[in-house]
Amino acid sequence: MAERSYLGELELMILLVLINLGDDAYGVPISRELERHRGREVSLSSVYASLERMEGKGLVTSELGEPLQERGGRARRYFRITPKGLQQAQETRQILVQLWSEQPQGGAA
Amino acid sequence: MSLATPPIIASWLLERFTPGEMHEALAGDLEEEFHHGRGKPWYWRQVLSAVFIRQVDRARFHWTAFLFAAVWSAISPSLFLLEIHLIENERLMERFRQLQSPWFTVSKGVLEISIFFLTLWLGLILYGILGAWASRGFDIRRFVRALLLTVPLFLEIWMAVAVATVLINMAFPQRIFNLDQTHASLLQMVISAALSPATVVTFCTMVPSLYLSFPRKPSRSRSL
Repeated sequence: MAERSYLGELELMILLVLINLGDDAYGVPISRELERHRGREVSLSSVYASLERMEGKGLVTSELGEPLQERGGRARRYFRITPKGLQQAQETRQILVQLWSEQPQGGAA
Repeated sequence: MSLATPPIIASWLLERFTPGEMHEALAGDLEEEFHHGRGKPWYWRQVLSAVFIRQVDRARFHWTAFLFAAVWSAISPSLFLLEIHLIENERLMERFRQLQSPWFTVSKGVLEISIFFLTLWLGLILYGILGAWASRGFDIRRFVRALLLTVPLFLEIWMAVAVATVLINMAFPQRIFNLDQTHASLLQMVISAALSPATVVTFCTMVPSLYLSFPRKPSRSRSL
């Protein structure tokens, strides 16, 4: 049987943010969206570590944009979710919904 | 319009300790955010976090190397002392003391550096052997072949160095190596000149180098 890997909390959040941001998904807006939803500062490096891991698994793809002066002449790296990433996000959601629905009454309080 | 510069030391740390494919994008994002009003404390927090995450990631990926380095670092001071005890015998020290300045300092320094490299090489060799053994890649026949080939090659180098030492000593008597030329035969002088930690380091370097230079055996056995 093939080994199955599940998404972590941050990975799932990042995939959902990538869907929301569409073509404008690079490090800064991704981390801002995560900060807005989580209500606390997000480390950009942890976001990149997750993105790098997910790119290795084929869940996201990335491409470089144009170098910009305000970034010290560095280019933005734009990320996009792949069909495999989308499928995995949906499967993870189904598992979470199922687990929550099986919780005893008051267990979520 | 001139833009404010992020903290130089933090930027250097970021560049130095977070290599990888995503480095440019991360550094650019941090600078972009810095120019959009994030302060220096935020920049520093992000850089330190990036360095920590990258180093933990590296340690996790190369955990066997990190573990071995930690163990070897812990035992190497005592190993270093043991090697000094074995190599720095009284006769050798007495010979060093008879040398004129600056040859005493040079000789002592070379000896200690040789011992340091010997410790380092022993660690590398042991790590290579343990690594090959753990991955079932260690080939004892290949190792024996490397050893058998090393011995004649090493002897040639050993003798060449020893003869060169004696010749230099004859050209500059009582100046450099201070070999006892009055009572010893030429052979004894050659052997005496060749007995140095550098020869051990050379030997310890040649065996794994030759081991690695031999082609690996095919992993599958031939079908009948």
